[in-house]
Parts: sequence; C-alpha cells; structure tokens
Amino acid sequence: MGGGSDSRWQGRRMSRRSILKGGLALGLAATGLEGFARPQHDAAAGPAQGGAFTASMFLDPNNLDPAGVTYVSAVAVLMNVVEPLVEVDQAGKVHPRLATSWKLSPDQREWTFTLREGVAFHDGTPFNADAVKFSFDRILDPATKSQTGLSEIGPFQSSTVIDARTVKLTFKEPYAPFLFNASDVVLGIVSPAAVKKYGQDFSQNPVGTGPYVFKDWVRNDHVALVRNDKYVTTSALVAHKGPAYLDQLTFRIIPEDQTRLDTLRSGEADFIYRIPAVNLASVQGDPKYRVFKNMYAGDPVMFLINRQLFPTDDLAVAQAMQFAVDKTVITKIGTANTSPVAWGPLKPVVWGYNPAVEKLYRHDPAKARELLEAAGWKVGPDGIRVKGGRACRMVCAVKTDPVTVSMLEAMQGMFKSVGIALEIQTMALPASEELGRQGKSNMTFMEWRGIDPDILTVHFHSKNIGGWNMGHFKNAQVDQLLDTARATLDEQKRLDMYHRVQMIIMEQAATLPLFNLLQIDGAKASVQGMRYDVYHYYPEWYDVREG
Amino acid sequence: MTPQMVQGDAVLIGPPHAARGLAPNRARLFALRFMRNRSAVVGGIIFAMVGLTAILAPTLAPTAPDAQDFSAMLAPPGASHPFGTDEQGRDLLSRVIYGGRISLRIGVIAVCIAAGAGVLLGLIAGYYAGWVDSLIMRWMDVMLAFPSMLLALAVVSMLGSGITPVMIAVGVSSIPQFTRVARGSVLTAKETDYVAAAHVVGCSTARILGRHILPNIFAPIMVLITTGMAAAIITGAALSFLGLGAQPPTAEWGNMLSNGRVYLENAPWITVFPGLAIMTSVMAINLFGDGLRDALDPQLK
Amino acid sequence: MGAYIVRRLGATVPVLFGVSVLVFAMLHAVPGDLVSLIALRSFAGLTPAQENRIRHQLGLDRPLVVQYGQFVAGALRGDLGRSYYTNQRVTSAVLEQLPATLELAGAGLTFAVVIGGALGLVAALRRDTWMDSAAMVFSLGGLSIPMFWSGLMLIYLFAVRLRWVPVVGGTGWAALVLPALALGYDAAAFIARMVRSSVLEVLRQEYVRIAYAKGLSPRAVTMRHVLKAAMIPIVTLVGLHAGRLLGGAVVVETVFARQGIGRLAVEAILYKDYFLVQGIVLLAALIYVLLNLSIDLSYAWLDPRIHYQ
Repeated sequence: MGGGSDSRWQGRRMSRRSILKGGLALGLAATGLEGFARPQHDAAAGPAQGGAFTASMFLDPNNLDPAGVTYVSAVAVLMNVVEPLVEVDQAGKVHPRLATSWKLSPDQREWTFTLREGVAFHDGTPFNADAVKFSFDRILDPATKSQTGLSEIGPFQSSTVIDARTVKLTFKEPYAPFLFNASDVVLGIVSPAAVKKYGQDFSQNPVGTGPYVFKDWVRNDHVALVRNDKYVTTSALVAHKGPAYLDQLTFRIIPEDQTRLDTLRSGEADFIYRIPAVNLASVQGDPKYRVFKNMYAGDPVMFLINRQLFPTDDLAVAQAMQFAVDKTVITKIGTANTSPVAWGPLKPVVWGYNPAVEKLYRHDPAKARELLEAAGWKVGPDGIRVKGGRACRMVCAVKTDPVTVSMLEAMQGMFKSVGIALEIQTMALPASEELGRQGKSNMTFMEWRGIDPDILTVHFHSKNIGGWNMGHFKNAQVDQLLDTARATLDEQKRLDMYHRVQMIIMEQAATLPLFNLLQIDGAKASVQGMRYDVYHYYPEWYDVREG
Repeated sequence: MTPQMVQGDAVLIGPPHAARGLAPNRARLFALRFMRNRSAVVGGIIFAMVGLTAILAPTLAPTAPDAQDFSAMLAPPGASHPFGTDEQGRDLLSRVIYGGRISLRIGVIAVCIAAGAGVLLGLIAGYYAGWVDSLIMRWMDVMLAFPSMLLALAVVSMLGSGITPVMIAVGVSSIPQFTRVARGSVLTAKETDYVAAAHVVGCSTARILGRHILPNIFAPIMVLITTGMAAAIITGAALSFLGLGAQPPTAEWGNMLSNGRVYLENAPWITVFPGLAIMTSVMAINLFGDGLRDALDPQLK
Repeated sequence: MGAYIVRRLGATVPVLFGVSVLVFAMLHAVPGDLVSLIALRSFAGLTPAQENRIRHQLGLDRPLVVQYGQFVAGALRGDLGRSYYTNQRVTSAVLEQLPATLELAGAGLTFAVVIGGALGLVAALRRDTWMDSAAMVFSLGGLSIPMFWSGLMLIYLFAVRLRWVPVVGGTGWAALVLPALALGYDAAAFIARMVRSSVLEVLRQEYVRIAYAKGLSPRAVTMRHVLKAAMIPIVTLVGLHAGRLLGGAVVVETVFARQGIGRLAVEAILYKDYFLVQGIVLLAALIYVLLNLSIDLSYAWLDPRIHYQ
C-alpha cells in the first residue's frame, strides 16, 4: 500500500509482453531530451569512492521481495540490490548479466542459461544454478504471494540444475517474452539461504548479488543501502568495474510532491524521483540542478471508458466525450504543460504506435453536441441530456489525489457544457480499481509501463474483463487481432495488426487518452554517472558519484 | 473517570457550578450578563453573519462555486477575483462562501446527532442508575478509549466517503461527551430537594425528567453544543482534508485546503482563504460559547 | 488506596474487552470483502478456488466467534497477523512507527505544557490585565485554528518562504519544530485555559486566603498552592490529550510527510489493510486506556482531597 493515493502516476507494472525475434525496436524518444542518461565515460574520472547519497522517493516500496513486488518504487530500490539473468539496452538488445550466455531449445520450450562464475550473494552464499532454480521455483509457490513475478514468467513450468553453472528453465508452451522479462529485477536471483533464514520476513530483508547491500527499511520513512565491497561487475552497459562509488544510498520516502522537491532545494536530497510539474519551472533554469526528462514507454495517462455501462454504452456518448474534452487544459492541470497531449491508447514511443489515431478526434464541443443530438439525447430542464427517460449521468470512481481529481473536475465542466453529467467519487486506489473491475465506474484512471504494444491486451482484451480491462471492452475483432499479433513473429504483419487494434479502440472510444506523461527527475548539478534502465526508467546507481 | 471538569475533548468548567439551572427568573439576568460580555456578543454577531452568508450564498457569491474559467487559472487575488482563482479558474470567494454551507451543515448536524443521542443516553444512565448506568457508561468508556479522530476515520471507512458519513462520524465520536455531562447533571439534580419532593408527591418518571431535570442540564449542554460545534467543524474539515469528506466539485473548506496544497508555492491563496474561513467561524463560535458559559456561571469568569 | 488501584484496574478489563469487540466488529462491518480486495491486486485476478484458499488461510471461513477468539488469543501473544500489502508483521509495523509518533507527540506536548502552563498561570495571576487578554487570545487561536491549516501555513512561511527549517519530517530537532508547533498549539490552548481557571479557583479558596493572612509572601503562596493547582489540569489534559494528539498526529503527519502511527492509520484504513487497522486501533486504545489509568492513580498524589469511595 504505502501512500498509493498520494503518488500521482502509479506506474503500473505490466503483465505480459512479447518480444520480436531479433530483439525489440524501441522507438524511444530519447534523443533531444535534456539530460537523457547514458553511461558517462569521463576520462578524468578516477576510482573516486565514498559519499552518502540521498534520493527522495515518491512511494513506499511496500514489499522488497523481488518476487513479491507490487509497486514500481520497490523496483527502483531493488534494481541496485538484486540482479537479473540478462539486461536490455536502449536499442532493445539483450546483454549478459548473471547469465553469460543462453540458448533456446528447438521446440522453443526450454531456455538453458550458462551462469557467471565468482559471484556471491551479500550473505556469502555462492551464486550458482541452485540459486537460479530456487529463485524461479519460489515464484510458483503460493507462499511467496508473487503477482508481478508470476505474470512475468508466464507459462513457466519447472527448472532443472544441469551443473553448478548451467540451469534449464522449462515452459509449458513457447513464450517469446521470457528473455526480455528475465531482464527485470522482479525475476532477479535471490539468496536461497537468506530466504530460508528470513522466511516471511524476506520481504523486508532482500539479499541479492547487486552493487548495493540492503541495510534497513523504515516504512514510509526510508530504505538504506550500503556499498557491496565485494561486488563483481556483471553488466556490460556500465562505465566502470568493481564496487560502486557510493558508500551509502538512502531512499527517503516522501509521497508529497512539494515536500519531495523541497528536499532537493534544501540540499537534503541529492536526487529526487518525480519533480512535481507545477514546480518544474523553478528548478529547470537553475544551474544548481540537473533535470532528467524521460518519455518512458507505456500507456498515456488516460481514462478507460466503460462501454457496457449506461450511458457510456452508447457510442455517441463515448465519442462525444472525446470531442468535449479540451486536452490542453487537462494537460496544463495535470502536468503544467510539460507533457504532450495524447490521442491513442499507446504512447508514441511504443513500437507499433499508430499516428492515424491523432486524426480521429479534436476539441470540438459543437461536434459533441451534434453527435448526442443525432443519437437522440435531448437537453433536459437542468441542462443534462435525456434519452428514453434516462438522464446522461455517469460516475467516475477515482483515487484520492488532488491533481487527478482536479483534472476530472475540469472534465466535469467540459462534459456539462455538452449536456453530460459526471459524478466524481474519490476513494482509496484499491477501492476505485475494484469498482473498475466490477464495471461500476464509467471512467477508470489508467497508466501503465511497458515497451511492447502487447500491453493493449491488458486493457482491451475481453479475457481481462474483471481484471485490468476496467472499461469492460469487448470486441471480437480486437480480441482476435491481439491474440494473433502476440504469436506473430513477422514484424510488418504484427505492426499492421496493432495499428488496426488502436484504430478500433479509438473509433469505439474505449478510452479517453489525455497526455503522454514525461517522467521528470532532478538531481544536484554535481551528480554524475546517472544511467536509466530501459525497462522501468529508474536510475541505476552503480556508476553514480559526486562530480 | 476523573473527578475533573474536563469532558472528552471539550472543556467545561466545574460540574457543581455548571449544573446550576436556568430557572425562568434567572433568564433575564443571564441575558443581561451575556450582553455585557462584548467579545461574546461580537462572536455571536460574526457567527450569525457567517451563517447568513452561507444561507444567502446564491445571492452573495459573484459566481457559481463550480463555474470554471480556463482563461483565468491560478489567478492571484485582485479586482475581478478578490480571493483569486484555483487551478480551474474558479472564483475562490464564491467557493469560500458556498463552502460555508457544507462546513456549517456538518457542524450543526453532527452536534445534533451527538447531543440527541448523548443526552438521551445520559438521562437514562443518570436517572435509572444501577446496571443500566453501568452498561451505558462502560460503553461510553469503550468509545472514549478510541481517539475521536480514529473513531471518526473508522466510521467513515465503514460508511464510505461523503458529507453524510462525515456528519455521522463526527457526531458519533462526540456522543460520550454529551452522555457524561448529561448523566453528571442528572446525578446532581437528583440530589436536590425539588426532585426529591417531586418523587414524594408521586410525579411520573417522564414528568420528573422533563420538568425538573432537563431544564437543569440545559445550561451545561448548551455550552457543550457550542464547543462541540466548533470541534465538529474542524474535524469535518479535517476528514475532507484527508480526502474522506465532500466529493468534488463540491466546495468545502477542508477539501479546498487539501487541493491547494499542490499549489502552496505558486498559489498560496488557495490555501489561505478557506483556512481563514474555518478559523473565523470556529473562533466566533468559541467566543460565543465562552460568553454563554460565563453568563451561565458568572463565578468563574 | 490499594483497594482503589485494584478496583480501577478491574474496571479497565471490561473496557479492554469492549475495545477488542468493537475493533473486531468494526472491520467485519466494512463493506467489500477482504478477499475481493486482495484479488484486485493480482494481475490475472483470482479464481474462486484461489479466493477460497486465501479466505481459508486468513481464517475468514470460520464462525465469527472463533475468529474473535483467535484474534484475542493472537493479540495476547502479540501476534496480530501480517499486513497483506507489505507482508510485514502487524506488531512490528506498528512498533516501528510508534517511536516517530511518540517523538512528535512528546515534542508537541512539551511545547503545550510549557507554553500553555506558563500562559495560564500568568493569565490567572495577572487577571484582567493585558497579559490575561493576550494569553486568552492565544488560547482562542489554538481552539479555532485547524491543525492542518496551521501546519500548511507554518510550512509556507518558515520552510517555503524563509527556508529556516526543512520541510521534510523524520530525524533531527529542526525537522520536529514545525510539526510539534502545529500539533501542540491546540493542547497549549486547552492547558492555558484550564490552568487559568484552576488557579483562579485556588486563589479563591479559604486556605490560600489563610496563607495570605498568615503573612506568607505572595510568591510563597504561588509556589505552594497555586502550582500544585495548576498541575492537576495539566496532568488531566495529558491523559485526555493523548487521544487528541494521536488524532492530531493523523493530520500533522500527513501535512508534514512524517512517518508515524497516524499516517499508517490513514493508509491502513484507506487501503483496508485489515490486520494493520486492527493492530493500530487496538494499540491506540490500549495506550489511551493505560495512560488514563495511570493518571487517575496519580491524582492520589496530586490532590489528597479526592477520596476513593
């Protein structure tokens, strides 16, 4: 839980994604963005060690067992403690990490990994095939209560230790996304001895092989890591070898935006995750700070529209909503104009994005009224339209967050001007999501991270009704296209299918996209060596040091 | 629980004195004493004005509370918007005026719930004594064992967010105070000669309670109602501040404050004016209540 | 006296029983089944069979009386289950947050006692002077200004504008100043009022007049009788305000982004983290009941006039 209602854009973890045969063409809009992080190979950089860093985090990590991760804040911490088998670079190419090489069996059901030698866990347990087997098998164990891990290993069946350096993972059926998912720290390798020692408390005592060792976690206050002096460099994407530079890395947990920013200004923090957009201007021009803007891949910030619940079951109403909303105003409220307006169910940086969706709608209240009028919605005495004796009144259950609510309030006014009444019900995030699952909310807030267009399956495939398809969208053609695309390896064919899916979704007005959120982080100007991971867009702290 | 004169969250001065009744011949004296207390009169007038403003909101407010003007977002206080605007370009003066309707309604209804249930329970406990008394008062002890804010939060979590649950939550959490005061007053009144006399001449229970005891607890309950209302307005706003009260776009003071937090640096006026409104109303009620108490019980002034 | 203590302790038992029943009942009355809440955290959703297994694991399929018995038995052992969200033991989650809240409450209370006590005393001794008026205006402010607003205004003034103190909660005295002020102001206001009227009452008492008549200096009279009179309302208020401070901590910890029981409570309630809510509410009630018990007992020392029939 951990203050979820306070963190604005939760950054959902995605469930499944597929990967193309030869790696993934990531259309990441990295270029041109200020401070986009790549490993910095400074010639002058000596083996400067030391220093304690403080990073202000937006959300309590909630659960620090990689397999039990529920919120991205845990990933942002664990990335430095636990290592995955492989790693993905900006171009979508897979590199070795704890595994040095791997191969897929001809029937595509068995992955065999050759493991790195000379690596040990923080508690001294040697890293070997047994540890890999243990880490994967435990995800299937209900006692681990894995959700994200379980969804990422997909049809994983069993694991076999071939020898100390070789392990085989067997799947029930071919599962292309696996190698890519194996780069996620959620499928990272943990110390079997530590899991046995801590039992249920492993979720507060993660032990991995990473460059930092977990020290302590005081809920809603901080997580502290210290340098792993015995660290063996496993990544090919880093700028130096051996132990990390920082002695200690403390994540202060500060969900309140303003307060978190103040920690950077006061010097209490060296880095802050998520600068509140309203205050960006005050930091951006200041030479004391560096600003990192990343257009991470995934969903835009959007509201799924329930197409099975009155009155949004009427296509005219759902389409009128698209025309009624002035997205520039919403973007101003939600991001202080830092992010671009969105028109489709995917961010443009996702491979497979269809730019044609941008031409379907525009801000045009007159057109909205026209659509409603044509569909038989007549303005009632209170200005709200009526059809068949029922007023055009809809509900949105939403988490208690001032900015999200404010965006909805603005939309409430815009809808009202075309004759649609919107009732906003604020509540805790899980409660609002439950109403979305049950199909009792006409609009459900959604934001998701993922780099494959297959994330469309999560929200728009009818098999996920009752799950993350909170708009209860049911369209046989979309279902069929999504299923086929996932199993199609021909890039062009796959692309075409996703293009069509996006068009259908928008023509059916199954979602109301608002803006493509830019992730904005900030650091002291002196901080060097920042590098973001491609999977989650959080900093890897291994190369970081005071300049 | 304690022999002192503190009842729950409210401060009451001296049960032995406060239990003094408001007999008809003393009413004029009371009015005179109250009117001589300048700050109390001022408090009363301010509170009346706040109440009147809330009632006349549609006439007084320059705009509707939810009228958006996206061309004037986050405008600072000035000629066209005396209190400035919020992030939706809504006029804050209008919202503060309309917000009073909700906050005062929460205060009044919560106190009605607390006073109604509390006094009834207190009368029953005090009059019948014995196991009825024990049962009621032990139950009040249990309720008092929960910090009232936590009790209110728990009630809201059971009933869901909204203005009505907040009224109930705040009301329920202040029942024990009224029960204790009412019971204490009944016990004192029972000792008096005229109640004993009433018993002797065979008056019915209802008659004794209605004619002889109720008037005697009127004074302390009135004082508790004013302090209770002040506390209810604050607690109600606090629950809305935590996101559990009034739902958007309803203008409510606590709600407005909470939304303004995001803009504390860029647009502090969003936070300043609703807070001033709460403070003014509550202060007026407190002044009025102090005057009331002093007038009812001059010895302690 | 000894008998009183035993009886007073005995009276605490039914209260604690009532508290446990109320806490237990409260959470079973919450709409929305716990398991359905858990289910929505699972990406794939849960099958009815999985839901039933969780229900069984958590003991939710047993009769309420049995569940209550298990709850009490567990509570007596200090085992209140685990937070489903963090998988952390409820007792350790609560105990982990407790020091921060105690620190805040302690600082707030110290401020309240020192400032409130001093102002009340001065106001009473200098009755009807400008000092009395000033103290009462201060007190009126404390009773009228909501904590969440004074907190925000303090942040705006001292942290955002003047940058004298850090905004962020947590460690260090500097970070404790503003939250303690926001939390303690209303207690200070109450204490100032109570001390004032209590001292005024004492000044009217026969024995004080006699003390004056006996030729004791006003200072000696003040020290001997008045201060003791001032102590009683302070001690009473500490007890009564323990609950209020905890309620205040809910707001203040949220405003100042501090860790603590209050914030944990809000989150636990918002997220319906079943066992965590039980643990916090139970602990809060326990602290409150025990504190008031010890305060009642301490009257014996402070005010010998109180008899224990």
